[in-house]
Amino acid sequence: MRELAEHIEEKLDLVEKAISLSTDKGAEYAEARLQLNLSKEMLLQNGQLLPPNITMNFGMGIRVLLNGILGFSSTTNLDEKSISEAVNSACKSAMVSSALTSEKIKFGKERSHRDSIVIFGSRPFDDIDDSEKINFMSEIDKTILSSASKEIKVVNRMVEYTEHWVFKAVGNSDGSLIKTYLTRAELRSFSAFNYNGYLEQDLFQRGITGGWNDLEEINFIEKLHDRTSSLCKVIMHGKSPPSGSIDVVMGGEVVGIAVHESCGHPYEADRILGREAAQAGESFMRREYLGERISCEEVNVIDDPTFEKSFGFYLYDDECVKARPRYLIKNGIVNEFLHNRHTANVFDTESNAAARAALFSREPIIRMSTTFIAPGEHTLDELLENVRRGILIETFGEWNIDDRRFNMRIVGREAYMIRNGKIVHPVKRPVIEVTSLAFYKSIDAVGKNLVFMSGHCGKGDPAQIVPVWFGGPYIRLRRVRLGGV
Amino acid sequence: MAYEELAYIMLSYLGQKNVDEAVVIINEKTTRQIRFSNNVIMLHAIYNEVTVDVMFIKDNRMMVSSFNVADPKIVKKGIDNLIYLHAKVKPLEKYRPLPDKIGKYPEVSGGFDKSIVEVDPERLVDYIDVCIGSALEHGARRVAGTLYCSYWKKHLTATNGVSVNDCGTHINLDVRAFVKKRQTGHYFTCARRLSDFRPGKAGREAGIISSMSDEVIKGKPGKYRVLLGKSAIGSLMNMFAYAISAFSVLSGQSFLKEKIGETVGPEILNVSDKPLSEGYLGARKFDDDGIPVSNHVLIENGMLKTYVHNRVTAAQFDTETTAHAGWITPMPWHLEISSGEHSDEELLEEVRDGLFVNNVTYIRFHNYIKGDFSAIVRDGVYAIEDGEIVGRVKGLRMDSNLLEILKNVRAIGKDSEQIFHWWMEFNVPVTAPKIVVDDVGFSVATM
Repeated sequence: MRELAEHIEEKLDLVEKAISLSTDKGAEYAEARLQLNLSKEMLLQNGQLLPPNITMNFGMGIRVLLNGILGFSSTTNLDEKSISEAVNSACKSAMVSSALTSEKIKFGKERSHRDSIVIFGSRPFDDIDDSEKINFMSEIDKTILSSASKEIKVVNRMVEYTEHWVFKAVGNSDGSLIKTYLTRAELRSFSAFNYNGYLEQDLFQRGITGGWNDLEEINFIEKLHDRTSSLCKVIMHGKSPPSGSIDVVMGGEVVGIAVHESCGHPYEADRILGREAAQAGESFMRREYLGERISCEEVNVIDDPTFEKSFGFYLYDDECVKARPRYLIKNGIVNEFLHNRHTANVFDTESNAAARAALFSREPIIRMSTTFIAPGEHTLDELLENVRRGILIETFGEWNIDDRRFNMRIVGREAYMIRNGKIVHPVKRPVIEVTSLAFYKSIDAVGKNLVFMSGHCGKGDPAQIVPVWFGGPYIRLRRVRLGGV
Repeated sequence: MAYEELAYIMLSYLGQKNVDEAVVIINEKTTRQIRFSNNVIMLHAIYNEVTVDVMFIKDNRMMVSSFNVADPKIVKKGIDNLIYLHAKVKPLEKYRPLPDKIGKYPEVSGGFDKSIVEVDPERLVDYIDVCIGSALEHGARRVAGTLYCSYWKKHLTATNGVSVNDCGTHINLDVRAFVKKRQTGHYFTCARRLSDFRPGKAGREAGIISSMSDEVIKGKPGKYRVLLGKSAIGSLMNMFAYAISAFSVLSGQSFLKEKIGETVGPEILNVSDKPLSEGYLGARKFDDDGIPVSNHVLIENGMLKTYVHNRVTAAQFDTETTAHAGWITPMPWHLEISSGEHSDEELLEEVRDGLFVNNVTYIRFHNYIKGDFSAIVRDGVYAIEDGEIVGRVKGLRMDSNLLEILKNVRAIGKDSEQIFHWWMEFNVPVTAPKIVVDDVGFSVATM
């Protein structure tokens, strides 16, 4: 597979060509992205391998800023004539639309870069025979069965392995050219259980950027064994959740989904400006919140594309801006938003490299990468010891959030009752329905050990799914009211 | 290279690999998209895509792949990889082979409109102007949305000798009107013909829905009688579309498992799949196996009649394909809920005391098998008292069960419309009127 990079190298001159044609036509900014994405998906359903699916996308996306409007065009035909037509389409589209705009888009000035990034790991995926991958999936499948209690029927099992190859070259009219060749992989297991008519399910997913060696380091099987055994105990012995105001200790997976939804998304500056209003929605967050305290000193929420081996890893965004960790909340204070070149200019700041495009045929939009609460100083025992009456939620099942990212709901899956600092029994499906501001205000302590899970974040129109990580350590929230109908 | 030629090259290449059967589909699609927010256009894009979809069966093992690539050399490389992988796949226990004889392909009228292919981009910009103006005139202060205008050609070639073409046009506009941050409305217009496209109506409806009442009422948890708007029905019926797929049933992810022949709704509930209806968004000639499609009744007088099948799921259920391939996942083409007899006023009267929910988004299941889910309600959530809208309700989240929603359908409107918008998560178009449902659960944030 690695040789697919040759297709990028062969056509590299088309990137420069598209940019120069665009600027010749008057584009204030032009960007061309030659991109090849190849995904291989293999799925075991109840132990049987379903037909693997290979998906490949290869073409060029051209984006221009002309007359204050963004024009975009994409094509799978990679010859000079087709690229010239695509440039014409992008420029003409921008020009005809400029009549209906009073608000001209402007891009801020950023430094130009020329760089190449290659990440295939010490054991690239094309060095591993597919038989080995399938055998590994079978081991995962067997682990679901062997970890479940005998009294519980495992009614459905799915194990999915996905390998993503990304080869791309992005250039722009600032003189930047960034080549990135890398692989990502993800393991997902889904299991459904029936215990005397009580139905429960679990989804476990972990992903990396790197090679097979990095995937092995996850210890997926051991972790799956532990969580399945624990969940079975909850299924068999779990009691109804308590009511009223209680303390909540959240595990890293739950923290991850909470910060992704209630901090990452609402801090996307395009949402704040209303650019995503028609679909994914807007944001409760406003410019005036910058510098305001919304949580305790110990809370730092970071979105870091440069986190090594993370599923959403990158060193330059698709506008060729160099990536860095973004401190969305710093010491409990709203610190910065996620920006591309356009929103950075509106907010009178610099882009922090959040522009990502899922495929060649999609425009770069503001996205998260690895979003997490930075580790604090407490052990789990220390977090529990001051809880008189509360629950510990290790994993979640269902979640959703409103389109302003203000009112979120998380249903716990593996959860326990805490009394006087001790875990006393499992709890079934506690429901947390809380506003984003109340969530951060309630946190009073942050644990030490980081946990990350992989995810596929959807946004944009046409929808773009990009790989992300989210996670955190254990955190403690004070006086939370559990919800539900 | 002509796309028929590309398909032929790929099929010949698969023949050299000694496959038992194969299908190659070439999709050529040009889409123009204009996105606007805060009443102004932000992006105007054109997507030119050629997709080569390949399925083959060799030694009873099925493989599928999709290449959004124009270069045959790269597609062949992908096929080589699939051929290598196929030996590791467990053979299909059973499947129906591609049929030797194919019946006549249906003629579906109203699916292609030359005026969409040739539409002047400036006219599309004018449509947006009309939509925004109409929404502002009817109560909105800000308007956002997306217009898509596309035409596509499809060529399918298979080893059973089938070689068939289809083509179509679509024009869709999805619009969201804002009065305040949390006071919004949503509507849409979608058509296969330019003459059926109604940007002014979409803007007007979104504007009206956004501004039905300024009174704010804090939501309380509980069960309500609910008038579901068309946007909401589009979202919910897409979850039904997934559940009616025989693949979802076999995967243990459908609340309709073992419900064939059972009552899943009241007598007034009739749901069909209608790929042959004139001008329907999902209308087409054939499925991904090249088998002619036909209309199917899915729920008749409240009783579930059939799942939708491809050749593989049909064999597993010991029945015939319903021509809904998707090679792996069969899906309905265009769902239609039969219209009832109630006007909009009568539907409000039928609710008497309850809620109007215009749109449902972020539907997330915590139990696929039972159909338990929660979802965000938005773009017009109003309290109804004595059959009249009395205030805008904030803070509610739908916390319910999809099977119960079907069972609790109480009244069906008579004003049907094609529905298609961003939150219909499986992209299955729906034709439906507004519907009243009893006992829909809602929760609220507790802090």
